[in-house]
Amino acid sequence: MAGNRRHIALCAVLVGGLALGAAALGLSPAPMPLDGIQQALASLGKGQYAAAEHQARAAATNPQDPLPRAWAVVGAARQRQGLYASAARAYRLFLGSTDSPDMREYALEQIRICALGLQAPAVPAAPSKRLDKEARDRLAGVHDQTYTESSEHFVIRARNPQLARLLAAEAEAALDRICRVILAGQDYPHSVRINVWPDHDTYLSHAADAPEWSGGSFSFQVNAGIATRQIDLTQRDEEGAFAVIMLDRVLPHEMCHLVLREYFGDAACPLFLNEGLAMMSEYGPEGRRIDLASKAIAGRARISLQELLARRRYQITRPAVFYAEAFSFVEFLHSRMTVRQFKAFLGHVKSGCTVCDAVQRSLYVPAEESFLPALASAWEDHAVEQAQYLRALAATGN
Amino acid sequence: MARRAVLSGCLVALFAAVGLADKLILIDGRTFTGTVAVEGETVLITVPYGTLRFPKNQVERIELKDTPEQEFRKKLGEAPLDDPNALYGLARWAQDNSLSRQASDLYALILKLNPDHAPTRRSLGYILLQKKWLRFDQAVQQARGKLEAGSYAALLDDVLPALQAAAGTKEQQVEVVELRAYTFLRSRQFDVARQTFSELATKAAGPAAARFAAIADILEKNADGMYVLREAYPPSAALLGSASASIKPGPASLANALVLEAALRDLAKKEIAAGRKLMAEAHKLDLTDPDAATQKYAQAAQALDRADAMVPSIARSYRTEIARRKIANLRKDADTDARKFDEAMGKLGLKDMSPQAYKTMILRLIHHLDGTRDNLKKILAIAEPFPRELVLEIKWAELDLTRVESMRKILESERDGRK
Repeated sequence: MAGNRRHIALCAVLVGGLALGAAALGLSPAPMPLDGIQQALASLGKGQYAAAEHQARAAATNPQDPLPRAWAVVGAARQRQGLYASAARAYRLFLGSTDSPDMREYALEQIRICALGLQAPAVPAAPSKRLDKEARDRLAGVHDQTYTESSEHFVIRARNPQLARLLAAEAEAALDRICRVILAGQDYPHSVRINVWPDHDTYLSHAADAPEWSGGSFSFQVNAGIATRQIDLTQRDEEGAFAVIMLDRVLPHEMCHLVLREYFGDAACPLFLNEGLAMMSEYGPEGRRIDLASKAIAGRARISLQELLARRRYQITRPAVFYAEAFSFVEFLHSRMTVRQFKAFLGHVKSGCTVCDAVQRSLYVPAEESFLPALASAWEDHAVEQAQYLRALAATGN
Repeated sequence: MARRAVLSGCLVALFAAVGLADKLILIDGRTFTGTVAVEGETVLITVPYGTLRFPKNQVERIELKDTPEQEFRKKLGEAPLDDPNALYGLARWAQDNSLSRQASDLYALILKLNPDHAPTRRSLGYILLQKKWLRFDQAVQQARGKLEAGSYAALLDDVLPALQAAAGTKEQQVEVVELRAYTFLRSRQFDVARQTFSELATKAAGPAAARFAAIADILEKNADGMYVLREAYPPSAALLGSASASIKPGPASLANALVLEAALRDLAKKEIAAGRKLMAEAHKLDLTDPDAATQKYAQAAQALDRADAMVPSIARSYRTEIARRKIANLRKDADTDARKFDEAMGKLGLKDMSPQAYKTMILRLIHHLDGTRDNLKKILAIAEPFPRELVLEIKWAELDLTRVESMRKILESERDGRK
């Protein structure tokens, strides 16, 4: 027995010595490709991206039996390290190695994401921020003549040529943002007339069915088979200054309503969704709404999610709270769902699903009664966290 | 003392179970085993299914033989009652002679004498795992625990062979093979796992079989065990802020249970997409060609079944939608019948009718009501699996059905009164 033990010890020393010697000479055996790819996946799962990249590259370029699918791991590891250019190269190698349509689509999608990752994230700034006082004064001017400016989707009529030009450009930018970002890739192949009225009274006298308190409105009418799309806006505020709110908020808000009106067609778009998306389309700080939503959720004015989802316009007793919560909830959904999921969600709502069903369908999860309470709880936490974050930012002066 | 009392209780039960029996052989060769009695010129034999009577002249002979129960009783009287091995031998004999109740009483007696009596435990379907005797379901539960804990070697070397040996029913055998398949998968033996899941697909039934076949297919298409997730999993984690671990989109190992779930969900998504397409086609046909629409809905339901086999209940809301559409179509038919009924009822009071015409009209009204009633019953049958989602449809149909039934009763009495 003692002799056996000596043999085992000797073998262990020999094996260890051989391994050390081979490593020193650079002869360490390469891991089998399958082990390599699985090792790389384990490292990737643990967040050890450099190791994952190294192991996957070894598997992909193994001279005996290369596994080109491992390039997907290389790409993911690099992407998660923020190395977008080299990640895109790895994804291209993966793309070249796969025949699967799903995998090709995945690789192309990742290459696109990497390309976006290379660009600085674009934070949409309010258009009025680009205007100095002189420009604003010019935009407040009202001429005798009406000027018409047109762009791909808009025909602008205003009593100020600079304003008509500016609105043509800004309306296109707002529409692009609404269709591409807010509504997750909708088309809008239509033409819209935008009328800019010099003051509130003129606006009210021309805009059909516009509430007295409003500064802008939209209309969509079909007469004799011809659809007319129109947005009416107010150029100047009560002091006669250029109404920057029209540019930053009212124009994108009404445009979003118009796009949604056509997207939903005869189907009903829930009020919270319609208003929430329209508010999301506006440029500018949302701190006030976020703060109000969080205070309402924590206090007596709270409108529960179930009520919020079902509320009609005539049922609103506390409009400020309703709008703040609608914005908060829609922003929550939009930020937590992928573009594909949000687009599917809108499609399901349009097809007549309840909001809860539409969310579950778009996530492809089994429909459960417990989902709505869980969703409400997650949203309320999100709303409170967001408000706390904004308050903390305000306290540090940022 | 207490043990003695328990043992004597068991013995009383064993002896009480034993009955007497004889063999009656008739002249025509027929033989019966039971308890024989003679009443005058008649021979009676009580057999398990009743008492038979034969004239004496038909009886060839009567053999007073020991029945298995009698033999068992004798053996039990001779057996050393404190020797588990001897009792085990007798229990096996009892089992072989269809005396299962006596055998199980004896097994219970043996386990009181020696709770670790291995042959008895095994005969009763127990499995020895980590020095503990467990019932099959307990052992399976423990095996699942080991699978979650990553004790793959212990599972493959010890637990699963023991479970396989103890698996008595087909369901138990499938359960063991399933555990083995998942063990291979988790331990990254992808090819063996694929083969085992293929085997399972042939052994299992229903949705489970489809699910196992799908897993085998996933492993065939991803032989290196890598699966690329197109979105994070679980899908609701980002929205609901789930505390549980989630997998990021991108490549991941199928050895991870969540990754396999994600892969199955991807298949379910494809089936749902196919089902939705068929539903849209059916919807277009609803008005123009109801039969073709019904066929399309049936095909859609099949696609949704396949989706549910991958992820249980994932397609439920689509099924509800199909049910709702079918109900809407039936409602239209029911409304048409109701309208016809109302028209006929309206005519009833306006026209002068001969008794025969009146009776014909009543019969026609009953016929309309029957049409409506059939449709309402169909609605209830369609809505039954969705009591929560289709609560309004169910309530309406039930209410209408009550009205129809009471109206029918009135018409029936009118019809019968006129006979």
